[in-house]
Amino acid sequence: MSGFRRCLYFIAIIIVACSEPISYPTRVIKRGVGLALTCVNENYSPLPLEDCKSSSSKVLAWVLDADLPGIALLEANSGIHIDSDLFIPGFTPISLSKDLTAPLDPVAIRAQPDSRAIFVLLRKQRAVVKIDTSKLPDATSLDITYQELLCVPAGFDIVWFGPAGPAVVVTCPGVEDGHSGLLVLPLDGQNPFGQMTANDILEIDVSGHPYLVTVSPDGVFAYLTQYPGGANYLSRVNLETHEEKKAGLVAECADGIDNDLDGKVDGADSDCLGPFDRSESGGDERRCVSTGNGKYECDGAVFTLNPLPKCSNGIDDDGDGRTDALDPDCYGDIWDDETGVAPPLVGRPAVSPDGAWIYVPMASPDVIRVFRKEPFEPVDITGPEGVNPNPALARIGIIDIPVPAPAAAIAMAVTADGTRAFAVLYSGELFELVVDDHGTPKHSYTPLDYTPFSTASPPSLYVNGVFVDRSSALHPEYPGLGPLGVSLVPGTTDKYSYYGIVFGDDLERQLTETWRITYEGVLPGTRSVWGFLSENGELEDPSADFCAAGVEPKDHVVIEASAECANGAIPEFAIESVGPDSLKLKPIEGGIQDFTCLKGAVTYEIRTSGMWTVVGSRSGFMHNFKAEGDKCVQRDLKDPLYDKAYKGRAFTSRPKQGDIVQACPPVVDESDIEWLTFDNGVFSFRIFPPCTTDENFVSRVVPVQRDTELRFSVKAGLTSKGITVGSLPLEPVMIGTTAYVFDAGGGYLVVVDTVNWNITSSHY
Amino acid sequence: MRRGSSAKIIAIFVLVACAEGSRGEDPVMDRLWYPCGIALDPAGDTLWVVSTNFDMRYRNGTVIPIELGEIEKGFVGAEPDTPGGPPVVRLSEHRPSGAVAIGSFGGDIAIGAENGVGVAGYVTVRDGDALQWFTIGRDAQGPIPSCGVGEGVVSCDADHTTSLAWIDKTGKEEAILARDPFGLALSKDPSPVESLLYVSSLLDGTFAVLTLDDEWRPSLASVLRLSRGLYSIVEGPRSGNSRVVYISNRMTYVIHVVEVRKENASVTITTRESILMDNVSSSGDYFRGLALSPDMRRLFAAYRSPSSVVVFDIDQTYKPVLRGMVPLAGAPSAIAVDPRSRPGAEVVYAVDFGSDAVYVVDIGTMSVMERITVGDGPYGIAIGRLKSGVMRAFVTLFEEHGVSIIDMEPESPTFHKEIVRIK
Repeated sequence: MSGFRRCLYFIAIIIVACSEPISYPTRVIKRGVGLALTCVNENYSPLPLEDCKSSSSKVLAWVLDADLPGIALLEANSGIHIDSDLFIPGFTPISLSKDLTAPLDPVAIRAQPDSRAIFVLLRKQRAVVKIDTSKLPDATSLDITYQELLCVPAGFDIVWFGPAGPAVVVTCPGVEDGHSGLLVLPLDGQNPFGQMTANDILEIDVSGHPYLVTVSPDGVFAYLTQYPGGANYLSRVNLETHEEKKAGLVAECADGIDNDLDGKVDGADSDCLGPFDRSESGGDERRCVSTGNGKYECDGAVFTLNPLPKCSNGIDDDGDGRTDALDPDCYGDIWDDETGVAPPLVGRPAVSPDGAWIYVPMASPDVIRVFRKEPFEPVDITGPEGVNPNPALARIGIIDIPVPAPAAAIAMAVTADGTRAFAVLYSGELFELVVDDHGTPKHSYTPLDYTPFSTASPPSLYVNGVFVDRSSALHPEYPGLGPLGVSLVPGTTDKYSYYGIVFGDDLERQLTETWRITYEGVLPGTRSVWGFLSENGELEDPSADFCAAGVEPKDHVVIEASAECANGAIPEFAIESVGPDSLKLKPIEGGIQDFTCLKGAVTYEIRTSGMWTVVGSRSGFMHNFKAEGDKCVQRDLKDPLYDKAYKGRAFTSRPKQGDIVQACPPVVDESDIEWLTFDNGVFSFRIFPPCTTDENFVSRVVPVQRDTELRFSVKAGLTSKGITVGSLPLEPVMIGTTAYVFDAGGGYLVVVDTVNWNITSSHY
Repeated sequence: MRRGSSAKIIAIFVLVACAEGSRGEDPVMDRLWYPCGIALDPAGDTLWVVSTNFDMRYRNGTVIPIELGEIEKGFVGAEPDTPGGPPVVRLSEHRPSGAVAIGSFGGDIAIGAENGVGVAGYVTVRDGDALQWFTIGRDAQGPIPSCGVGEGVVSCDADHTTSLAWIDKTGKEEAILARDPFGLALSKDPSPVESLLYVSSLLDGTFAVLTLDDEWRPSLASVLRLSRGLYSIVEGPRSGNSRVVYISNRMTYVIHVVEVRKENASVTITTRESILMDNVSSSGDYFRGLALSPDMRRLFAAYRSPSSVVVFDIDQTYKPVLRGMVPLAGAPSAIAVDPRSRPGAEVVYAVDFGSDAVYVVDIGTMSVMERITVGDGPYGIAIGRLKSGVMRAFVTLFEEHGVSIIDMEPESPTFHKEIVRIK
């Protein structure tokens, strides 16, 4: 072969081997963890993002891949990848490694608003990487600068304006290295980025363990979440004065803040009765008083709790190194849980472009909590004075915007109609919310173009916890809610009965949850091992709140009794009167007639008698009782938690006379049955009586067995505008009304037109 | 060739082809072959590894006990197979004192213990649709599993093989309803007679509960049909005689929640809920391994559509409620929780079969803390403390016929690194 030919072959091989900018038909990004956008004109000169609206400009998407580790750079609308090494066939991402011996651990990526630089936060390497974008589209020799940090970082943001800008702010939780605080790295300081020393970096002391951070668009405030598992508050740090303010993300008694300024926080504050207690500044009057060491005095009678609650047993039950009262998850010595409740999963705050509103995505419960800038506090959206009153949510303590699935991240944008928030949910949706409508605060779902409706699943039947399959046989010997079908409610044109369940008109009351209708069911929260029964039939329990549980006279108390003590009788008593932590009992027919044998410490539960409990997995057992002094009273009309519709007790419909019915199971609207309709404001239903038919074809109703349960799920109809963008979308980035979302599940970038709600492009 | 000769040759071919019982080599105790299930003996001295014999090279699959004290001593100074790789210890140099031959295509394994020492083991076996079990004796050389007569690799006899055939209630016909059993879990109870063994079937979607006698012998007690694709099982919280059990499904995006009630010798199973995932991509491959937090308040699942760790909170009714998802890459298979984890901030290890790695996921921050590269085709995982007191994670290497051992001691310079590979 001649030398010339060899040379040609060599060149040909190189040309073939060199990669070309292409849009890939299959996945090239392994584990995307973040997305940043920059803008360039037709010559690839950087443009500010806010100017990236002309047809000649291009949006560049920088996807941080933690497994490569590196950055995949692509033109957002065409999907063409910009290669960082042309001599390696295929696509080569921008490498973040630079003689770093420790494995790379990139956690977040942000773009400078003028598109001239990209920043990446490296956790293990304690560094921020700056990538200069000025050499684009040549990505083979980008200038990459490493700036060491003083701590193990967790989150960061770019400040462009304001007292600290331009700068990079970084949170240091101090969980791993004990170094907590907020670092401000000036981008226009004396020493250039990459050569800053400790003297160049401003360190602001902040409380707790700061985690994720977002700086307000004016650059004045940094909003910080706390490291998960610590306190549950959002703090606001003024980047000029360094003043910090806190506002709770959960109920006052679990937010980690001394809300009433008495020097005691959450469980350490005796006014807190539990983590769901909304007020740190006052509690209910209790009849039973702790005398220490698990001893309680109720009206002069002293008894010891047995077994001792986990918060007074002298043991570090949850292994967190803190025992009993020293554990902030303990609420007084009667509290039986040192581990506390699962804190919500809190995402990165999003600030509205005008800085007035801060949205924080949360999971468990699945809501978005809204804060106002001034005064810095959570906004009660669902309460009677809220912008979007919702009694169902207010009653269960949710003051926020509920979302149909856990929210992972939020971005804000200004539209022609006002400010909108765009949340990505773990259901794969991009979900729009109205922050304000032409300046009027709304904090609500975006109205749909159609009328949504809720649905219910067919009720499942359980008897003593055992499932009874009704798919092949009707089993009329058990009660039901009517025919197992979906049908139009007679006299209506758009109202449906779902297997006997008919929803009310107020969609906002209808939450996605599971309902259990149980005959003579146990009232939630009334099983206890700390009852103390006197021989005159007084049952005291310092751990109980019978008013809050909705206990009423005529309910029954079932006590665990030994065989000798019961002597063949049922260890069950009727309730004569109800107090916050005491009950007056009386014997029932067929039950134990004397309290003497049972007196002392007892284990008990409270059930309804001759009726059904209706309990929602979110709504709970609905009633209107509350404690007032040593009595339980009905809430009055002025009480914001009062609602005449709140009902948690249902009754079986029965024949008007005798026990004979025309058909078994009874037909709908059978005239000789006195139909009793349960309506709790959410839905209504009627309980069809159980029956049997004898050999003469005579049908009779039969008694309902205790613990017969009808269980169904409600799928709430209320929803907002949105679109499915993937299976695991990450933090959205907005340019105007266009949303750019990277789906970590599918490994592709999705571009969404949020005005017309369609996906304009998606690329690997 | 004469017609008669051709017929003879064909007959010989047919006979040879059909001689299934004698096909393959004798199973050996010093070689792992496509290992899958793995369990650490509660005594912390032995690793029990299921070789699936996936390519049918051998006549049987095996359960091989690997004595860890010997391995830990032996790997100091061992050489890597490839430059930069972990030191490799060969089983042939640390020959186990015994092994059991089971059917091919074994699945999960569970070890029953008395006084903190493993005394019985259970394996699901797809070849034959059975549960096979063995007793564990110990001598100076280490644990000796037994499930039949003989020495070396002992074949499990009929007494140690529980067919997962379920007799129809009419007694007229026998219907195999637990074909391709894979998932297996043993309840944590102080004695065998109080314990329950749970088995799930991939093909028929049946969930079976077995009781044990005082000699750890299992017998089928109850079966419930759920849906095809049942995979991993974990026992959750208990209330009175009831135990809540969570079962993952690899063919549909659902976690089944069932309640198992044991009253004396009677066992009943009822369905509680089926938790559906909202976000799916239609790959047909969904949930894999399951693990519960030590306080039983969170359930973790390896998920493939999309590739992630799915985190559920367990609510007061023991229902899993989606908390969030942590994106991973590849094809997650098994999952395990560091038992030392703080409540709410558990550290979860998800094995990625696709990229030969184990992801370390911080549930507190819902993020990947680390990615540990291991050998080829990692599948099963077990985490526990060795008799010597050190914490280790063990990962079966399906494609490399080995086990990776990962250092789990935070103060160690090799923390979260593969420190030795057993082959």
